[in-house]
Amino acid sequence: MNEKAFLSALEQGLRGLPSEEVREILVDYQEYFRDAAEAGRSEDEVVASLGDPAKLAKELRAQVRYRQWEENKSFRSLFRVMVAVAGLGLVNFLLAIPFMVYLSLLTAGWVTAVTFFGIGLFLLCIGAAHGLTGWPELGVNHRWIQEGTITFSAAEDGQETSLGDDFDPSEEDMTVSLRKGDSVILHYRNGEVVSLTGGENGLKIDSSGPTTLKADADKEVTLPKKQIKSYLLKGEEGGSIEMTLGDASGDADIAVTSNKGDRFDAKLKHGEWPEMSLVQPEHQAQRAAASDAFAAVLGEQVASKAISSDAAQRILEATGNAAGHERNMVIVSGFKGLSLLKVVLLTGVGLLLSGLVGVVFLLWLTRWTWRGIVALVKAQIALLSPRNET
Amino acid sequence: MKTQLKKGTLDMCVLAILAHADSYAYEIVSTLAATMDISEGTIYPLMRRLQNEAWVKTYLVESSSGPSRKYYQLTDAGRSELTTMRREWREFVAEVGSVLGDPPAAGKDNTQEPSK
Repeated sequence: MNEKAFLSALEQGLRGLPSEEVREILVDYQEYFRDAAEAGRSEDEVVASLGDPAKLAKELRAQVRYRQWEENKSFRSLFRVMVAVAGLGLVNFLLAIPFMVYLSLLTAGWVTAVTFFGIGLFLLCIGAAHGLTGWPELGVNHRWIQEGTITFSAAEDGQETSLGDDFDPSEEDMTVSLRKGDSVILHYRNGEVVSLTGGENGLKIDSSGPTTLKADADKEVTLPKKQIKSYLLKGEEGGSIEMTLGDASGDADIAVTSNKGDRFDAKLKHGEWPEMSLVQPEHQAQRAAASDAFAAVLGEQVASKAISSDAAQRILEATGNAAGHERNMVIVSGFKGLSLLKVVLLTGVGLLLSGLVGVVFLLWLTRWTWRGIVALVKAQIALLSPRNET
Repeated sequence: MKTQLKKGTLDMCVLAILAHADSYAYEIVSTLAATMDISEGTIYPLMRRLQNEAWVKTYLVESSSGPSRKYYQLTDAGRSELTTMRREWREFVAEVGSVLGDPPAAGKDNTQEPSK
C-alpha cells in the first residue's frame, strides 16, 4: 500500500462525515507523509507504521461524531455517536440486542401513552362540546328497529334453517322464513293482531281485525316495521324471539328464549348503550357471575335447535353494532344504563389520566435511559485513547 | 498492564513535549518513538482529542518548500492539566514504589507521607 492507497482507504472510512472534517484529516496525514519523506523514510515504511487506515477512520469517525453531539445534543447526534462507537467493536454486540428491545419497548410505551392521552383529551373535548353547544350529537341510534320492512315467507319444503338463523334485526329490510311449525304473531299499532304460520302450502294468515293481510305473488308478506308494535317469532322447537317496539323512535326490548328456557333480554333506549341481561332457570348461581361470563354463556347455554347460539350471538352483536359498538358484548353490558355522554366522559377521563401517568413515568424512564446512554458513550469515547499496539 | 499504563500517560507525554516548545505531528511522534512503542497513525486521533479538550490549539506555519505545516501549542488549560497529571503521576509512582519496596523518590513530593 502506498500513500495514495492509504489516503483513499482513510477517505473511504470517513465517508458521511462533514467534508471539511474529512479534508482536514486527509491534509494532516498528507503532511505526515511529507515530513516522513523529508526524514528519508519510504512510503511503504510509513504506511506500515501508521497502521490500518480503516481502523483509524473508525476512531476518527467516533471522535467527530462525539464532538458533533457535544455541540448539538439531539437524539440524532447521540444516535450517530452510538453507531460510530458500535463500529469500533468495543461494545459487546450481544449487549446491543436487549438494549434495542428495551428501546423499542420504550418507544411503544410512548406511542401508547400519548395515544391514550390524545384520545382521552379528544373524548373530553367532544363531551364538553356536547355539553356546551349540543354538538356533536351524542346518542345511540336504533333507527333500524322501525325503519325498513319486514318480510315473512314460507320456508321451502325440507328447509332446516332454524328461525334464529334468519333473524337479524339490524337489517333494515329483513326477511324471516317460517318452516312448518314456525309461527309469528304481529301486534299492529292500531291494535290488530295477525298471526302467520309456516306450512307446506305457503303462509297461513290469521287476522283478528278488519285488515286483510295478503301474501303477494311470491307468497310473501311484507310490511313496514313502523306499523308494528311488537312481533313474536316462535320456532318449531319452542324457542322464540320477541321484539317490542316503544313509541319513541329507536326504543325496543328484545327477548330471545331458547327451547331449553334460557333467555336473554336486550333493552334499547335512545342515547344509551343496550342494556342486556340473561335469565337461566337452571343456572341461577351462574347468573350472579359478572357480565364477563356473558360471552361464554352465549356460546353455550343459549344454544338450542330453535335459536342457535350463532343466531343469538349475531342478534346481540347486531344490537351492539347498531349502538356504535363492536362485537364485544361484555363491554356493552359494562356500560349498562349509562348515557353515551357519561360513557364518553368517563372513558375520556380514564384514558387521559392513564395517559398522563404513562407520560410522566416514561419521561422519568427516558431521562434515566438518556443519562445511561450518555455515560456509556462517554466511557466508550474515553477508551478511544490511542492504543499502543503496532 | 503496560498498555493500560501507557494509554493514560501518552496524553501527559504529548503535553510535556509541547510544554517545551510548539511542535508538529511528525516531530511529536519522533520524540515519543525514541522511547516508546506507539502506533504512529493514532497521533492524529490523539491530537484531535487533546484539541477537543482545549488543552492544545493549532496554527499553520508557511513553509518555503510546499504546503504549510500544522503546529500544536499548549493552551493555559493544557498547562494546568499537565501540572495535575504530573502530580498524579508522581503520587502514583511513589505509591507503587513504596509497595515494591523502592526508596521514595527524591523529596519533591510533599503530599506523600510515609506512614512509618
